[in-house]
Amino acid sequence: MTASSDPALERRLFNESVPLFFEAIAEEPLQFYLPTLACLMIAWFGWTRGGADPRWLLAWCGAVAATETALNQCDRRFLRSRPPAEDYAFWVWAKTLLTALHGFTFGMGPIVAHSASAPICVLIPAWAILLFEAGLVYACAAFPPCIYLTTLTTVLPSAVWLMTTGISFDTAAAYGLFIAVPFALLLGTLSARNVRTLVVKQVEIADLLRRERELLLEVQEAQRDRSRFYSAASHDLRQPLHALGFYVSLLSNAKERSQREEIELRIAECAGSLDRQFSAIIGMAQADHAIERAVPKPVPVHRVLDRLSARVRARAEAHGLKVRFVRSTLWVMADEDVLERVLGNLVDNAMRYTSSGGVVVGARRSRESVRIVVADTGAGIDAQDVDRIFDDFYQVGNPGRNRDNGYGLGLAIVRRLCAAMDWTIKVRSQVGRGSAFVLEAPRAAADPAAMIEPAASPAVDMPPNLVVLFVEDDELVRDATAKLLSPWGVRAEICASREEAFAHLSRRRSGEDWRVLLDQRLADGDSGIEIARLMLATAVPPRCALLTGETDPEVLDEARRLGLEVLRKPLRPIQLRAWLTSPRRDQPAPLLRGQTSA
Amino acid sequence: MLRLLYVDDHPLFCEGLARLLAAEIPALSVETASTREGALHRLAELDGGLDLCLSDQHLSDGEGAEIVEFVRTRFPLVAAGVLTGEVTQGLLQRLRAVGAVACLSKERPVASIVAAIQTLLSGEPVFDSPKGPVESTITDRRREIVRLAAEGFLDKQIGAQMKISESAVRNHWQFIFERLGATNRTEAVSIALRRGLI
Repeated sequence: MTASSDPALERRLFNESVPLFFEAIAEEPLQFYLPTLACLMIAWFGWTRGGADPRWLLAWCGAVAATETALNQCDRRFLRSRPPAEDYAFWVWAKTLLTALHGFTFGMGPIVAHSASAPICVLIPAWAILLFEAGLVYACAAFPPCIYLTTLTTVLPSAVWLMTTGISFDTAAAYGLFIAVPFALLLGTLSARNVRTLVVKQVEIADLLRRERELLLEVQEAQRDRSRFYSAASHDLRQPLHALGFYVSLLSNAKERSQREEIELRIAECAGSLDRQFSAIIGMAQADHAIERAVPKPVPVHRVLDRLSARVRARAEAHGLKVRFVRSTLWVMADEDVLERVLGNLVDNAMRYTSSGGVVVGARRSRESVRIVVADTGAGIDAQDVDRIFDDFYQVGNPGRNRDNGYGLGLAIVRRLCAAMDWTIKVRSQVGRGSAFVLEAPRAAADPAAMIEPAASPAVDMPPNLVVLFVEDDELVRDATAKLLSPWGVRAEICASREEAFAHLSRRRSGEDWRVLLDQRLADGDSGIEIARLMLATAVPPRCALLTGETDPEVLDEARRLGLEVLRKPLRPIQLRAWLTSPRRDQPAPLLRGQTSA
Repeated sequence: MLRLLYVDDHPLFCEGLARLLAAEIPALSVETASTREGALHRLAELDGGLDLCLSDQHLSDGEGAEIVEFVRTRFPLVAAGVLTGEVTQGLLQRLRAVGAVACLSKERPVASIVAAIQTLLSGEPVFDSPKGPVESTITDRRREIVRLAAEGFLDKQIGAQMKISESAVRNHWQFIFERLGATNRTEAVSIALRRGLI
């Protein structure tokens, strides 16, 4: 695990590892005093076997114990007082120096207990130093510089001194100690790496938990929003619903016709009012849906304004308002449907609150964004209401909640859509003069490919290359059928006899899908079934159907055997069209769930 | 007598619509079914002896579009369509592939559904768009005719401009009148202007 290039992250990892540095063995007093115990053992050997001066030995043990106690106190002090992160650097280096000092005193062992005659007095302290190193690597893995420094102060002094005594045994022990240094450093680095992994995971978990908390808060906020919306909506819907029940019960009691008629009128009004309210509320749901489906693309502003202009023209005229859409060449990066909804709601709102004068809609460029302004000469909005007008169901100046003035949802929808699309919406207003709503959306470069409007479903849905051949001897029926087929956009060949029919058929081109409708009773005793039989025997038989008014079972059986559909006279347009648009026979019938192929 | 099978799992709506249709279109006899299974069963019994089958897309045991697919392949003479709360391009494509006649948006008020059914019975398809009902709109070609008429052209001139015969133009006018609810050219033009169609 190498250091990342993010200084903030490194800082965070350092702060997380410092407490680990102090916690490693703080609560394990026995382990803490192991070095002291080792000292006593070494001192014993040194005195009994080596004949070293006991006063030096005792002093040495005392020094080791003292530094150990100091270290322990340092840990406890840190854990108790929990200093702030800015002081961490001071604390870790303080402990590092103490540890180095402690190591240094312990490392004096081979020197203090040295005896030229008893090698064991050097061996055991040297060996103790190695064990001390092992413990050091474990205890200080959270702060590697401590390991490195302490290793040097512990091992080097006695190793160097042993080299200078000239005794071969001492030299061997010195080599042993020297070799220990790189090992200790390596183990220290590896150990530190482990701790770092641990700390990284700790940080990740902390981040995930925080994110989860944030999401939870978001969800709770959304749920609160929703219940507020529902309670406001249900409150508004209750009134016409109650009235409806009331009028219905009145209706059952009304004896006179005039009374009944009036009540029926009221019931119709309630139903209409409920319908409109629902539409307004559904508008909110649709806005949410539009947000889900939204795909920002380059959109020419004028296209949206043109559509709005067409939509509001009638209403504007009816109310005697002038609504002007200033032609613009600007393009925005937005979802077209959402943009249309937002502007549509703003224009509707403007018209609703303007009794005389008019509304102007225009677009201006502003660095990297486009500002679309909807300005009106209406009543204006009071400064205290300006923030609240975007709230659900809020209406200014409509205390009786007269439903003709709308439902207070238009601007709420605008706010919701803008928030979801990250557009800003601002309003400037003066009471008595008018208001201006400004929508700011990101600008886009003009994109010729996007000039083509998204295709609406094509109006023509007759199968392509369809040709209808109708054989009928009655002129009136021919005429009526021609009139019926002409606006359907399908090519029709209409004739009266077998010869003409085959003549038409011979001119058939490949790729065309011919459907032949034959009247059963034709001139000169000819029958549709006969013609059909011949046509079906050709190389590429067209699809044929019989038109007949009779119920002769022989004819119907024959038709069924030949695979002809039978249309009954009088010819019904819906049936004719159904037959013409039926899929080609070579298409397999779709299997429904639970069916095996029949 | 024209026959309609209407499939919907909402009993109140089903009954209401059936009654309204019976009152508005006397030549129509209406049957109802409330599940896909029930509808398929009845269709098998009738063996194609009906003119139109309309189904709610969202049924408790399946999709209306499945019924349409079944009807259109088994009984090519029977027209079929769906009503749906959400018209999507996917659904429209699926329906057109089997030659359905209708995809009606449930946003339409009930009276508008009745009007749509009348249109269907006259042989015209009704496909609402994902943006909403297309009621009282006319095809682009017909809109062009109305626009030319608004500019003062006579039928013969309109025909010449659009490369169709004068009688074809007159034919179109009949449909335009029906769609816009007008009785003469002047009224049609005025309605079209008011609705922003031209």
